[in-house]
Amino acid sequence: MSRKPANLQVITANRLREGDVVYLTEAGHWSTYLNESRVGADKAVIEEMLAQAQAAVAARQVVSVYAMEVVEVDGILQPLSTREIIRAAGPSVRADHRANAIQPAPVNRAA
Amino acid sequence: MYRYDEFDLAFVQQRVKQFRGQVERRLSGELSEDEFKPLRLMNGLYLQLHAYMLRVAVPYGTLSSRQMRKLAHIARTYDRGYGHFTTRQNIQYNWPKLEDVPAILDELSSVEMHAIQTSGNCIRNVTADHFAGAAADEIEDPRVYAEIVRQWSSLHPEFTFLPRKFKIAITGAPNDRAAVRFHDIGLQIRRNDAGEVGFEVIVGGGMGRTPSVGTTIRTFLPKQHLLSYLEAVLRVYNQLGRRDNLYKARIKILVQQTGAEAFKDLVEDEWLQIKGGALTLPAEEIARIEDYFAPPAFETLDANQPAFEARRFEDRAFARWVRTNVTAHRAPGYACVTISLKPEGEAPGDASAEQMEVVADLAERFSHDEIRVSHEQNLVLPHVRLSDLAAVWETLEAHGLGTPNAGLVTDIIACPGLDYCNLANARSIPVAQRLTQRFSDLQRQHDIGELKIKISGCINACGHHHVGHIGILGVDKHGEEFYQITLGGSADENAAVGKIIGPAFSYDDVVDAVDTIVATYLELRRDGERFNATLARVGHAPFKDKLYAAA
Repeated sequence: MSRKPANLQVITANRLREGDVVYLTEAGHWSTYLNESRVGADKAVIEEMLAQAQAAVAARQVVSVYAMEVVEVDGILQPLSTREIIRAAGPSVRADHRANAIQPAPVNRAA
Repeated sequence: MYRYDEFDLAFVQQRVKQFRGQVERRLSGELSEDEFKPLRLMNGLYLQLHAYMLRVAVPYGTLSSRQMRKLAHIARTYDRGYGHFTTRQNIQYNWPKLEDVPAILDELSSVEMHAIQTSGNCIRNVTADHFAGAAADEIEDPRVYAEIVRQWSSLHPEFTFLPRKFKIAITGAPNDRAAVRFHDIGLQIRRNDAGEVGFEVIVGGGMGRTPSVGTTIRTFLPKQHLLSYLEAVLRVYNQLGRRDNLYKARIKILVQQTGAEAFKDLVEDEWLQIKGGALTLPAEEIARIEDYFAPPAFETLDANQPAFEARRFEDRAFARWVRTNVTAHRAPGYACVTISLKPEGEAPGDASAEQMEVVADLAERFSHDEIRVSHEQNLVLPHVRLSDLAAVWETLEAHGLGTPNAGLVTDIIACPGLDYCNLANARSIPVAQRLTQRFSDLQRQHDIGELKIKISGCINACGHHHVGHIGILGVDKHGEEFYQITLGGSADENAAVGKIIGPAFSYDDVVDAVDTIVATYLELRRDGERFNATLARVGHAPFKDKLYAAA
């Protein structure tokens, strides 16, 4: 099992209109899949990602933007904190409301 | 039940229209999130961990079948098919979309409901005894005064920006089922020596990070002065309550820092200025509101119903449910039914749209069209004939609503916790679920008897852990969930704040710890002795010894 140091960060937010939990992607879009996130390791990159996210706030795409820590386990991104694991996966108490955010995104998913 | 008059209706409809405009302006960019947030909060709309959350007011916990069906419809149409009943007798939807909220509020207004006063630093939705108007031990129906307080407090211009939120609870019975000693103001209806009915006024109770039992500042307040006296309390608080520190802004801190006697004097001075003025309640106005809550036309029935008694004798499962979930009614031949929203392995307080409809149908057929939400996160059918109990129970059983555990160890209050809440440090619901599984043996539960477990996922104490006989508080220790246990709390007329037993337990160990506490109680208790009585007699030490013996 390969495990990188835990200083990787991604940017998360909620969609303004629907409220869904989303993550900033490489392409600068917002995805409900954590594993489509752009990952930043150093401060300058994370600052740049946050600036990009703030532009999306101004454009009324998302609200409540912040950076969060992730770890990469066997090529899959996972949040570091319990809070963010639950936020990504959905409430741990109702299997019928689980999201699949921490699973890899489907290959042929329409964007 | 209370019905909207033309003012109520116009005001709620106007509010929906106003919020629709605000949402449109938010989505078009005219309003920033900073500008919009206080507006959405005034309409009960939060942004939580996963999504928006809409908290709908259920004034003093009373609903008609029509209203319950509307709540079900909203759950199904705009949410994920369920809702969560809260410790403030409200309902929360966990997954509404911002763009749908104006339509939801519009639907609510069609059944005289709204989400006003469910958030923000105002006087919140007033709560009351869930057996109001039905309980055998009641002096008067507290909802009459809860409604009068609602009319006075709704959008009260002077009290819209208080230092902090403000919660009022009213009970009409000496057995306090509304936790009046843990509210900013608690009102207990009392009869004085002259036989007149009025209020004991209790202030400064609360939970959160500074739990405190409220102080009585007036042992008897005549009815006609209710609003002027409340206004005096609120004025003193509004002027002197701290605004510099969020954690010291509740009235309980003001009462503690001023001293209860001095606080009382301040209130009395203020009251003298306004007493007998415009806020005096004329007897006709009280009578007008009383008419809305006039008891249904109960039939004259024999207190002894042979068919019911026979069924109870023959059917052990039915008898068990009757023992815990059926409470004495004021009218002979009737009973109050508690519908448990705490089945084994489920989230306390959650109900599906289908279950809400089942309850609405039962209320219509068997309970004079009335439903209550209890602060213990259950539902109540307040007026059921004894002869209908078996039919009601069979229907409840068929829909996962017949768990015979009201007041027992699995009738757990739990806040949404880290599974839903932005403020939480730890999960509450799965701890409750695991406890209901651990104590799933009904015979054992009934042997244990009344025992209240309450769980909060953070120090804000929405899960009332301070007043649980066994209280559980989730804390975050270096990113891991831990649970601190308190013993000896009580929310009823013997109000007490629980005391911490020792170091916190991990998520994996907390259920075993509760099991150990219960087992220790069973070993130590004398005949018929309740948990807090045993604890008072033996102290914390025997529990502590058992819990931390291995360490």
